Amino acid sequence: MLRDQLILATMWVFGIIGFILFIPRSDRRKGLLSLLVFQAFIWTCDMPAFSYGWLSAPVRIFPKASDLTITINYFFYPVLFSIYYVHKRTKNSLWARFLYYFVGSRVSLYMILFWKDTLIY
Amino acid sequence: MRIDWWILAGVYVVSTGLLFFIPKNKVRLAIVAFLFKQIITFLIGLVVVELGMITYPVRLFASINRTSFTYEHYAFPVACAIFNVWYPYKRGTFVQLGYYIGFSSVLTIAEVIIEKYTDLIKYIHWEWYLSWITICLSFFLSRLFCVWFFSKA
Repeated sequence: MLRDQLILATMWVFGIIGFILFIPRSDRRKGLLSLLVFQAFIWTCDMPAFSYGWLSAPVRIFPKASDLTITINYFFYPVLFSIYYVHKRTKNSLWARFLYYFVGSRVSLYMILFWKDTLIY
Repeated sequence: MRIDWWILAGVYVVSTGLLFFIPKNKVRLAIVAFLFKQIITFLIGLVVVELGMITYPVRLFASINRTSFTYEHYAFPVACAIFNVWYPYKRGTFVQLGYYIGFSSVLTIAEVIIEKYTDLIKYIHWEWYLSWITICLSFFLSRLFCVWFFSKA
């Protein structure tokens, strides 16, 4: 329980530091917009998933107000996506882009494996 | 109870209808204002419900979320998009101030009426003026964000 909460706290800290460090000042607008867009979309995917009981988040912030995983969907994943989006190179070859997506989705795969051990997801 | 669901549906219809009044050349501004407002209302909505200040007895996704999805994810962000799109930035300070007061008052009056006659929202440790202040403040923040976002870097 305590470990899970520490992980959530770490996500907030690393998310904020990551956003400041990995998004150059000149790309702040692009980074923030991609974060906002991702954040808006992820709820439409997660609302049904949580409603039908495919996902649950026993350890979470605002436990009385919501059963959703606010830390991950409201903050952490959007930050990861904004870092990805700002650094993506559209001029690369198709294979390079595919690899980039592949690595990106791998990150979430490892996270899912990691969640399995906790009560966060 | 039944009328509450009709009101909820009506909110979606009216909000969506308002979107058609956004001029084509200001669609980007509207989207940025909408998304930014969503992020504020979502967080503050969670905080007030968590602290037991407001409840939303009739709501969408009731089994997983105790906040108002309709208001925080759609109706209020749409109002904010309209607010920013028609903002009278060329007019004097008094007109701009009146614009803030007008928008916040209309939304607060609507909320108070809904609170009094329906089960869509119930104040527990909350007052109408707190709604007015937070609504006004969130409009101000969204305006600041939009001005910064579209300023030349």
